[in-house]
Amino acid sequence: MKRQQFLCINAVHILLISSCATQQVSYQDDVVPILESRCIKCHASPDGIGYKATGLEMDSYESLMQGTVYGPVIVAGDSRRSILNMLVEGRAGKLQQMPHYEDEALSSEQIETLKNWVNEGAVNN
Amino acid sequence: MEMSRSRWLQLHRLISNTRLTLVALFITLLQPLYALAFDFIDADVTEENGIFRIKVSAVIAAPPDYIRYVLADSAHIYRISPSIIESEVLPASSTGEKQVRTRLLSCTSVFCREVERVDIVRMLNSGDFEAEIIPALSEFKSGKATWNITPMDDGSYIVYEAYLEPDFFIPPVVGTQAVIQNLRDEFTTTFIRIERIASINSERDRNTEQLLSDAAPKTLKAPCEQNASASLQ
Repeated sequence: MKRQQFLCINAVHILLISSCATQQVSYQDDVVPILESRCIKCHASPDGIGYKATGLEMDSYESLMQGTVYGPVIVAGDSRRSILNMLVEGRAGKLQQMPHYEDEALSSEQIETLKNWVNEGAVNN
Repeated sequence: MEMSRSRWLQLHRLISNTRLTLVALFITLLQPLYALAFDFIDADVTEENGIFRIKVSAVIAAPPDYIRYVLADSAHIYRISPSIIESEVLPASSTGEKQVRTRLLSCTSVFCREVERVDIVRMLNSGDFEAEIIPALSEFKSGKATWNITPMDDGSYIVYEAYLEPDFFIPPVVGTQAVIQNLRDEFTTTFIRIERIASINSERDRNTEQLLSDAAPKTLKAPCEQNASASLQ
């Protein structure tokens, strides 16, 4: 009986761990809504202020991954080194924090979603 | 028959993947062509008694003033170094000098470490730059870097010299070698990025000047016409 209980508990743990491990952030379902609601206003061509300033266009996965005229803003798998994450998290100082022209910074959930997406490889899923 | 068909499919897939890889490789190779304009003359990193000495000289395809602008733009310093994971322009020091805080993520094959440093950044009368570490606010016992920038043909000749005395443990021999390699790689990337940003800004200004000079006759004409019509009334 004890052995069965032990096996059952283990099975539940394994299921929980595997479900956590496979829960991946979706670019389309999780990331795009954040970009659309908070970033695209300025980072859309041809008139967005952010687009004009740096060339960063966020209305497609390809353009996002291409980054600014100065280089990529995402290092797939490494949110600590990704400029996108650095700027929304305010790690480059308050004045540089994105979004620039809104009072509100991204919510902690939105920041976490972008961080997890980049850490999971920034795939177009 | 079935076996050979599946093998054929496998082979076909392999060829398609190889083709894709080649295309990707070609595109990847095309990207840094822009960056290949710069030319390393010398890149030397050494270590002695826990002090790292760095000397890098390079010819960069961008005018000196634009390079100075990139170096002076501390708010965007994260653009030039791949190791910077945090940066901030602090309030000026008591002597009115610019202070910049950076947090660096330094990863080698041996270890990974985040390091904090605060530098006083000065632009000297000569047009050179100097960054001096404030040990009390940094994980370095001491450190100083100078950027000497002189014009050369259409570009600039840059000599970067620095010494760094880390105040944290670096595993001897293997760790030291890994840090040396890491610094070399980082400076290669940093110089490539400086050149890229300086060149883009220079090109942008040239285009703006061109646009302004193209537009000048029209904008000049309008007030003259206005004045003319006003005087006629």
